[in-house]
Amino acid sequence: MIMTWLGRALILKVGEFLATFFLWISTVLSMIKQLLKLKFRARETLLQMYLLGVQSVLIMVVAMGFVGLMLIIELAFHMNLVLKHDSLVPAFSALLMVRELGPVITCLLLTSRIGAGIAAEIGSMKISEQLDALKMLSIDPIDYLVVPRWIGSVFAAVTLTVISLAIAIWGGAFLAAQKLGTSPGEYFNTVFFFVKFPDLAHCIVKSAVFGSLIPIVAAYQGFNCGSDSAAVGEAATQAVVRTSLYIIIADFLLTYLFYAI
Amino acid sequence: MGLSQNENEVLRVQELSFTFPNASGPTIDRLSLSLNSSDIFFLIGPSGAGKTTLLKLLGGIYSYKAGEIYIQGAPLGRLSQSNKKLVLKRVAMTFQRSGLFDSLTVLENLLFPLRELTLLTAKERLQLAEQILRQVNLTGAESKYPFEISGGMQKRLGIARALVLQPELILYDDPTAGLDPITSHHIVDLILTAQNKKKTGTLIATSDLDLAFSVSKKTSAKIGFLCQGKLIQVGTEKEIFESRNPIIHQFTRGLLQGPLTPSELS
Repeated sequence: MIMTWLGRALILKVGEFLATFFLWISTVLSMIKQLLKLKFRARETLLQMYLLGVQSVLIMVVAMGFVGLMLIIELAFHMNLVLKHDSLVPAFSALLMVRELGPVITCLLLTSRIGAGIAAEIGSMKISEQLDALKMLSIDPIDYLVVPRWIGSVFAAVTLTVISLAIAIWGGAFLAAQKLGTSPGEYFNTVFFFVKFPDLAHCIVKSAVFGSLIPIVAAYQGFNCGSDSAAVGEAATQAVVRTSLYIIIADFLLTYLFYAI
Repeated sequence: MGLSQNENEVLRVQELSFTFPNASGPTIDRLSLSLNSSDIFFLIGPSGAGKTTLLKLLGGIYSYKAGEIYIQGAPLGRLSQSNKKLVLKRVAMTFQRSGLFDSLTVLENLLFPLRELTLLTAKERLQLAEQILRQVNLTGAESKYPFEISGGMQKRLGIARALVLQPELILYDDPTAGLDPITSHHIVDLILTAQNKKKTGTLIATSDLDLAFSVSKKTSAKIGFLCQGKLIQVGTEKEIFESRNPIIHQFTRGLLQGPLTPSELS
């Protein structure tokens, strides 16, 4: 009985994952088709880049600034406890930020800011028959709704990750000077000695992958939401929960691919 | 593309069936009907009979596997994507829940289909949109968003959006749902004026029997009674009202007792 239930649940989840994956594929294909036809929805894409990227700058700067400060305090405490000195705190904090926390926390924050919004917007368009109106005008909703958001989200994830890293590392430099007595010169020397170009490249790839997951999972939830307002709320919640989960799983896979093989 | 049976035929539906995924039975079941340009056809029937589904099939929103829909002789199901787009440009639809783009203003809702589906210049698009807005008495509301205007104005905007592409066939899905009798009257007048002016084929799905019967009496429009995906009778308002079919009899007289049970009126 339990095995049957588990089997059914597993099949449903795998089906849902495959459907999301196919939506991702069709979005990418739609985008390539638009690029080849040179009929790019520039206005919608620029609007989404602004809404998803530019309007998220402030929250990212504040959040990642505090993450940078917290890392210095935590690492200094642990290094003093174990190694009895804290000269490598700048290196470890910067490495951790570039390789893991920068892209992951930025994209998780981005998920909560835009993922729910995308799912709710598409879900409410579905229940108010706006998606049908688009189809009636022979406009592919993936073409019109998902591709611009996908480009906007990838743009937002990459640029915000870079900005967040800069803020977190500068914040760390400030706190290290105050708390550890490490001058900014020493701090940045250590950071640049340990953080190499491939780390930065991997960070950009990770943020692009995470940024590409957000609108796809959210759009899938929106397109498949039920026909009442509670279903729209549920779609928004599920979009955030699932995207966050997928980001964490993708982070493990990419980390394994970049650093463990 | 095939040829239509007669020159005036704008729509022909042949043995059309459609089943939603995971549904126990077909929502549209071997349905056939035809409509000439300048004809008005009312589709009435209980909730869940398949009226909206049929309209969405005719509008190319849903895809079907069994039967065929001919729009001015062109078989919708057998056309390539690009030809289908060309044929569907001749069909417009208004939606029960308005279907208006809420991120666009009233004027932009009209400019959007023109921008997407025509080769008109920006100036021509604006002129045409303003002309249609005048026709539906929405001048002055151009910069408002759909959620800032009343239900009646939303219905008029939906009709304006359907008219803006100058279609050959217009599908109205419950155009008077949720409106007061006076506003309903205005909407009906608007539909009939637009139909008279352009001689478009007009298919109106409605649960409003008064609307269907009064317009049918005035214009001798045909009424089709749809139940469980089947078109069980087509006739004038008199023929439908006097029908001996127990389902139609129960429905037209609003009787609680009869073959239509609450579970069937989904």
